[in-house]
Amino acid sequence: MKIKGTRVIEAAAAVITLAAIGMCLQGEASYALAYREQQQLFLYDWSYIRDVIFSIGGFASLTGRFFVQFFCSRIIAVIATAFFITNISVNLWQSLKARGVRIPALAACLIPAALLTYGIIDNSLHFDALIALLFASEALENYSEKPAGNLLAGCATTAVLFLLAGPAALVFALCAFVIDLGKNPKSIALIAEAIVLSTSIWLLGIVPTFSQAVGPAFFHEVTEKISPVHLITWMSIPCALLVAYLTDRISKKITLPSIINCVLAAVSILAVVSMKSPVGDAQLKTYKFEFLTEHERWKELEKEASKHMERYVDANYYNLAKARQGALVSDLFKAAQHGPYSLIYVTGDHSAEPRLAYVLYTMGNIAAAQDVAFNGMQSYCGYKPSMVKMCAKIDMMRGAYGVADKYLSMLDKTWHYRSWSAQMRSYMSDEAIQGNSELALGRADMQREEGFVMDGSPMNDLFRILDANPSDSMAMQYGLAFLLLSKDINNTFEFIDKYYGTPALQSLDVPAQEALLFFWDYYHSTTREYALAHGLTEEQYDRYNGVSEEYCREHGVSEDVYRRFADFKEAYGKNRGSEPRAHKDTFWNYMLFSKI
Amino acid sequence: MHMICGLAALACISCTGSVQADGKLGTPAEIFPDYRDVTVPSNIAPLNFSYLGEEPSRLVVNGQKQIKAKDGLFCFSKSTWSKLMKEDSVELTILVKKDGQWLADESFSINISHDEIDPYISYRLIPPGYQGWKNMGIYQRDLESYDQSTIFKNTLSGENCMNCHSYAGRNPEKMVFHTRADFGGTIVISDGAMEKLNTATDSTISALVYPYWHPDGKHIAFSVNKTLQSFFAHDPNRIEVFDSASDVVVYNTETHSIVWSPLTRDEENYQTFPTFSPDGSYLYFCSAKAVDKMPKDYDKAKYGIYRIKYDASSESFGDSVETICDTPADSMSASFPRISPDGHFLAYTRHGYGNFSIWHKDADIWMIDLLTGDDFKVDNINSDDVESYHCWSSDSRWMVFSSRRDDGLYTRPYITHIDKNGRATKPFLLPQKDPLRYYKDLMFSYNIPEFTSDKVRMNRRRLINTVRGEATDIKPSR
Repeated sequence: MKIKGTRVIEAAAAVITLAAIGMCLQGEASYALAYREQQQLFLYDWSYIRDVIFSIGGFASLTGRFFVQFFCSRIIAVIATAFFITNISVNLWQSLKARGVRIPALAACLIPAALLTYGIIDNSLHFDALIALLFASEALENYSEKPAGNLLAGCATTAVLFLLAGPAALVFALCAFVIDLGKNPKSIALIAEAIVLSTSIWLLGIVPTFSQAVGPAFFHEVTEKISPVHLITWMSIPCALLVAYLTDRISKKITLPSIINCVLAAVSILAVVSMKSPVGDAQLKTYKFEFLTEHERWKELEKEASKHMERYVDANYYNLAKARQGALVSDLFKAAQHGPYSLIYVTGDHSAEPRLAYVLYTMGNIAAAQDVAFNGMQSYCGYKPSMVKMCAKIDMMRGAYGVADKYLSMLDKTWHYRSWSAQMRSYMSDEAIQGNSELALGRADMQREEGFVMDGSPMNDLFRILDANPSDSMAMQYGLAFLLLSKDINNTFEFIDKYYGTPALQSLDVPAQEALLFFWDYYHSTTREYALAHGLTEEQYDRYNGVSEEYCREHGVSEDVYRRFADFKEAYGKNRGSEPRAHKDTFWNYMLFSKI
Repeated sequence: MHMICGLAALACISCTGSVQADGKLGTPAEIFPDYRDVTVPSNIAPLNFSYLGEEPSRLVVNGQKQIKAKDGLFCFSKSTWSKLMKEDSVELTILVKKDGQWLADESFSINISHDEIDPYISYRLIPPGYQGWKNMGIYQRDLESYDQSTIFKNTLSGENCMNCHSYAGRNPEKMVFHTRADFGGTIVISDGAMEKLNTATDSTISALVYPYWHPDGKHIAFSVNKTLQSFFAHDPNRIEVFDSASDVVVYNTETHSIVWSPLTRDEENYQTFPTFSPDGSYLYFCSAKAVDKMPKDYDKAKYGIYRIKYDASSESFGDSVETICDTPADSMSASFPRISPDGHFLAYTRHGYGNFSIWHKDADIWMIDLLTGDDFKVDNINSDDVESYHCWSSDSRWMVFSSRRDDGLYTRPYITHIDKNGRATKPFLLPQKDPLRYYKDLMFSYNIPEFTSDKVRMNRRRLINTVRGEATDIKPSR
């Protein structure tokens, strides 16, 4: 009866833990897990497997990468992660139980699970780290089934575990020492062995720093600073066992150990929940945006990105989603825009950002997109699939089939991308390219006039792209939107004058109509002297001043826009220059009241 | 017992399993790498290659031994290969089974030169990228086997950039390379001693860049460059890397000081890619008239090759510069001058403009006969794509050079034999156990292939500590 009761508690604890972890990970965190899939390419290829597996900790790395390849599904990512973390706690408890520790200690085993759940969203720590700990916990459970102080088994396990899971062997050794406490202190030899092994890889130069040889930093991205939470998590495992062991010894009854363990676990979990996330909100959002972009879920992307339009990254994604839905210009002022950076924000040190690659690609700036995509292709654990795909497509557009074949060959060896790769292979010739609208469009977008891309304003490139391919409607949208957001009414007029009536600009969206009308109004109320004093030439002034209402109507300005413009001017006059609320989503309002 | 019988039976099958050609192949069998009629050194690793067709195939060696292809790959055993390498040439015939008949391809030879090649080359493996790289490293390859080992990789130093490795006369014990970013500095390794230098000074426009050791093993010529890069909108060259200023200086490894001549450092000209003559009495370098507007006028920079006298004992320069190769007169540009150790030939890369030839599809290898002054394009080794960096072997009979001929982007090392008259043989791609698979899978370019006379051996831990440690400042002495 007692045994049955214990089993019920164990099973209930496992199920509750699994569910709780799943709940914690299913929201925003699930995008962070899914992002891991974009940090690697698991190749079903012996040379890849050999390279990973024949290195210290390689088996954990390979196993981790194997599971992560399925994380393109957020549900699988959450379930698998929750399962692994729960399994670690279960293994810890089973190890204690095997050494005769009573059921109250189970609560302490939940502490590492809470920390692992908390830390798993930090993608700088490879998933391999979790798998390594899982291996260590499995090894501990096996070890606990043998009599305490079985040095031969312990030493062999430590050595094998070190080869398979790197410094997780030290966690195993510390835990083995704890569960053997009071029974056989010789287990301290396992700790010594793990430290010797770790030190040897440091001395041999396999890892550059000692902290990488002994702790979670071994599995951490070397270019990023490791969060202390990961070290705390690793240390929490032997510490939780120690607490469980010691509290078990306090009293022969289970009441006091139960209270202590439950309180400790509750306090620890509460502390973890209240801790600052190891990943900032902006980063979590980026994971989400990238996921939605990669899966072409434009409506969702639009909705999510519209929440913080004051951030250029968010605005870039919002406008990308709008452009992909063909509504960039028509809906331009339905969200708060902050100048042309809202369309494309480029910083010097972000030359590998997928956001930038996606935006440039959508703009038709193929060469610049390739530059960014190539830089972004190298990822934490190999190659970033979305950027490999983009590089393959762009090399096909260029006609560099040999290079494209290289990328497709790599994708051929994956589970998730092999069908895409096979499909792309059917377009590997100049004739076949024309059968794929995306590739044909990209090829047509290649600028005719040779020059450097991103050498100045993105608009310079857009002009050249549209010269090469005025049928690219997304480039057309971006070009017009860029000028509108720049408040550049002169070039907006020139743009409309040049492209109105071409295949990609058969009609003018309302914001462009508003801008054209504003332009007409402006130059009909500006004196020649004023215009010349502000940099216009005589010729320009005559040309701009010569634009008539008739011209505006011929170029798509509707009567409704005329009427609303009259309303706007009246409201503007009445309110003495303050913002007329009724015209909030117009170009006029943006022109006169938005700071860029 | 059963197993022994089975093996014996298998051996019999392979002994007696030879096939005879029933006819001739209509079209030449496509193979990779193209090892048809190449010349190889007798101490090179086996030149395995693949038949690219789908059909079963065999390789007939010297009309006798047959090698069965596995997935198209012909593998030479070590013992077979070493026997073959004792001859002057090997005749190979590919047999392809089509419609139940074995058809023979036109036979070809692999010619064997008994001029032995230096046993190692070292190179940087780097993604042929634009600004990003993530992983890169300097590796060395035993040319007599397929073994590649790491000299240093950037995962040990924060995934920073590392570049421009160079050896003093192919001596593996005297090496220099740069590391950048957080652990930036120049690493000089000399006969077991290692030091890290901070080579940025107030008197120079940048830290030291392209190196070349003086034969005395004490001085190293370097360029200092303000380098930028831009990405082309459409041009197949993809990228242009250009200097907006550059000079040449000479560094003394003992005094930690640098010297220069006003003729190797002035604002009106760019000077770069220094190299010493084998006797050390001349410093050669590339130079172009400075261009007003970079990057707009990127294609107006035309580099020629020049030299100036240099006396290492007094660290003094001659008072005039001599023109060695007036490529600007042909509206062309030259880079990477490298003189054969016997002093007979100067090999360089010739291309339309600028100095960063690895991104120039028109770049080819040319040579100047320093005894006669003849300047000629080297026959047999150039392709329609990029040929760029090159290095002479110790005996001046071999040259390794980088080429993008295979796919147009990923640089691969090719090796050619050069006779005493400067004639080159058809080059061969660096052998691999399974070259088709290896080169297709490899997502890195071979950058700066350099021969060494032996394996580079160093204490990895010490090297990591040096790279990650403090740097010693160098100082200008004039």
